Amino acid sequence: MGPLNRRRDRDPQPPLSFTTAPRTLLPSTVEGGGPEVGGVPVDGTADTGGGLMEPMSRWRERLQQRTLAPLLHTTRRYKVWVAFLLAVLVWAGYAYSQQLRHGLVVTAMRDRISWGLYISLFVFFIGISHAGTLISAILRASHARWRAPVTRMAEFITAVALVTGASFVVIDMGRPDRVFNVYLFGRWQSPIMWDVMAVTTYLTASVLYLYTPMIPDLAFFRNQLAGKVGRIRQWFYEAAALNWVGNEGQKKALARGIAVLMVIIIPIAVSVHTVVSWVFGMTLRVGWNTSIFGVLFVAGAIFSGVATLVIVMAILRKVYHWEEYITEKHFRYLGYLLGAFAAIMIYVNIAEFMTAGFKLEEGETFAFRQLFLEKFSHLFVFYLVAGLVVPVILMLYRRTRTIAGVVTAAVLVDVAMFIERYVIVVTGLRVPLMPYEPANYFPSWVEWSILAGGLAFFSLVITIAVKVFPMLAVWEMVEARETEVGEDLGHQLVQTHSVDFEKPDGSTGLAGSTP
Amino acid sequence: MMTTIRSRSVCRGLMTLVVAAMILVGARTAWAGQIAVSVGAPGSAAVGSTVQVQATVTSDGVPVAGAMVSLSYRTSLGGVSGPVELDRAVTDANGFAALFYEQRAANNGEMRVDYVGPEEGVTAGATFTIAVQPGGVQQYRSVSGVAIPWLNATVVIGLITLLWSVIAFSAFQLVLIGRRGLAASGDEMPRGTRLSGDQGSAWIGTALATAALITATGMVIVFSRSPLTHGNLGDAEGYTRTPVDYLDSEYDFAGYGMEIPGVTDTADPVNNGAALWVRIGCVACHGPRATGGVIGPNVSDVESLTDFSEDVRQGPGVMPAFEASILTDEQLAQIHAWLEAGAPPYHHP
Repeated sequence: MGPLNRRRDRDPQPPLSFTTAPRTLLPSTVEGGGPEVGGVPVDGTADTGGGLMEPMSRWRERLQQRTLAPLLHTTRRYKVWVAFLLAVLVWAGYAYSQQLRHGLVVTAMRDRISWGLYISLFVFFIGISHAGTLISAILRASHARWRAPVTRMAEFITAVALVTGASFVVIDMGRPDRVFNVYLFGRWQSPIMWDVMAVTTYLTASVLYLYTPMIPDLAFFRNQLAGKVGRIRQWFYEAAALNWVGNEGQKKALARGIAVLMVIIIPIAVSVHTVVSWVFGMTLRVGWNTSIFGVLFVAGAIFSGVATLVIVMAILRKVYHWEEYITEKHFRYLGYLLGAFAAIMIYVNIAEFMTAGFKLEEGETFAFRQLFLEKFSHLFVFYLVAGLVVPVILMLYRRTRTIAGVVTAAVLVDVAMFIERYVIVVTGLRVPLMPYEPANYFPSWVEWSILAGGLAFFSLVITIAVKVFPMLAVWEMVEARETEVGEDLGHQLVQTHSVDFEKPDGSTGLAGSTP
Repeated sequence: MMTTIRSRSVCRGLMTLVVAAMILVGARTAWAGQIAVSVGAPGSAAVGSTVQVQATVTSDGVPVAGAMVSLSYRTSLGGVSGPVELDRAVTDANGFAALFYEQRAANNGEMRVDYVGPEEGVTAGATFTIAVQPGGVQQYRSVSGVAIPWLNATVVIGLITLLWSVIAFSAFQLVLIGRRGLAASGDEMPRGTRLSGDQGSAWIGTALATAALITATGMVIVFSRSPLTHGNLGDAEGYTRTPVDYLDSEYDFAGYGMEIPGVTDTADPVNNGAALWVRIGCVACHGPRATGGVIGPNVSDVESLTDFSEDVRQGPGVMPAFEASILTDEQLAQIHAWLEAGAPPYHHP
């Protein structure tokens, strides 16, 4: 069976092993639970070593318990955190009610600088939504096994960040009740319309891409939590698991769904932030009038997406004791990505500013002065140094290529990338198109409050999602582990698999899936 | 008188014949005859349409091939009047040439087709008029840009359809997963996990797939019904756009500085009214000659001063009210006088 399974790795479809098939799990876990299950502590003090010699079944039980732990135990600290986030959201709701009541005049946006913090946040959030695509789709398509523990988080960040980002467009509208006119009277010549199209496509695809690989893990939750949680949650898992029993037909459909989505979502993601850049680049504005804007936006999006993933990963790992699964290796690999994208960003910035600055056409002088010498120079220099140069330096040295080093770089990158979005939006509109005094913009309390609300909403949804959904991709991790173990101990793999894929009638499930 | 003229022209005609005969004999040229241009044109044309004018060039009744003719119309701009050439064409073997122009103005004035060459020094032509059909309003369609035949809206919509079909296909896999689980025997599920009986529950998959399909169709529809400009698929019907109106009037340049006080303080109240018409903003809706514009109706046929005053102060319909702080009674009367005088152009004092 071992060689058979490994041969499947070379098939065009991703290798799938569905350890949540009820036959193999349930007798030992649900009905009473063997000594291993009961004996696994969930507080993170257990022996996390295991090593490759540890029996696969035991390793898997521990992983499953660790994934379930957040659902079964709620700490006081968690409740305080949720209460805090809710308080911020209520405050932001009050601020927004003021905006609805009095109109956009409560913001600092006026006729000359008509985009501000809201649009910066829209660009920023759509940007960090690229985390899921890169980590999950590209690494899944290239069969990078180390990705398994972080994919689910990345996909959640994508979906939540997209919803948050898209809502900022509506918040930026003085008349949000007219948002549906975009669909009724939209014309495809408008870059705004391309944006609506791209974001809708990306949101649909990433929700599907989040949900499809989660089905086997939801089935595992359905089986494990039966009788342990309330009726509503039980009903939810049953519905969400889509009758998953892990039969051949279901495995094929799942594999097909994932394979199609992971390929299509990469060009969609690239197109999304390109189109976001076009909302700026298609206007006749000095600072935005550059063909490299799409590249700058996509690179920056993946850059800030990886940084956000590192931060979320570090927090969840600490809070839910996932040190065994999310290791320093994951931070180091993502750190390499961060460093590489910082270098790409440096290159793109040089390419853009050299081309524009060498010619210094009408208006560029003003744009350059405000970025490098005057009003926005401190923000812009912070972005260049702390957001682009420092991360590269941190990733260059082994001593700083630690978890702490990578998280530091990630925080710097996220702050710097938000500043970059803000600077792009505001400075682009500030360059006078006619001989008038340049306008100024500084966000009002309403805008700051809604900014806080946006961040709180993002955090709250992720916080709650941890309590509802399997945040670790159990079956993908088991599959990765099996391949890893299999390479060293092929013999043991044979035994594990012959159990895993036994069907009720005694035949093996694998035979049916081999083309 | 008449006889002298007649006899003089007869003499001149005979002289011409003699000279022509001498040239015919001596130079043997084919162009010796009297060149004439006759024109066939439609009586009227609609704004926005392409109009064909047919010209025939003959020499003593014999068709002339290879003659260049030009189509022009007479117009005036800023006090300068002259012909504006619209098209040129060369006659065929039958002496026939077709000339084309797009009817843009609401009034053509006198139009001409003239013989241009190759014979120099010959003046021959014909005048005619083409009336412009009333209701001369058209939607503006941009003709700028580069039209690449294979790069059009159909390609964009095709790509979108393809992309969304793939998404819908992957969403359909969820339905498959749910259905294939239903087909499995119930005892594969642990006891106690089935709340809804043996039917199972796969509605989330179906709902997600349906939502994806509806969004897919919706997105394609939104793009397909985008109105007709730059080669779109749908036509503009159903969309409200501000049409460009061709105002059937000219307005002489009255000089800069309508805001300068002296402009409306001339000795002539009618002339003051003309300046106030522009300064107060009446012109924006009712047009420079008060004959009506895109928004405001024709008010050149003015009512009595009392009624006029009442209307201006109250603002009927969508018209704003002009209070005494903006427009004094005296100024109002001057505008009224200007309208009664038939809205003559403003003249600098």
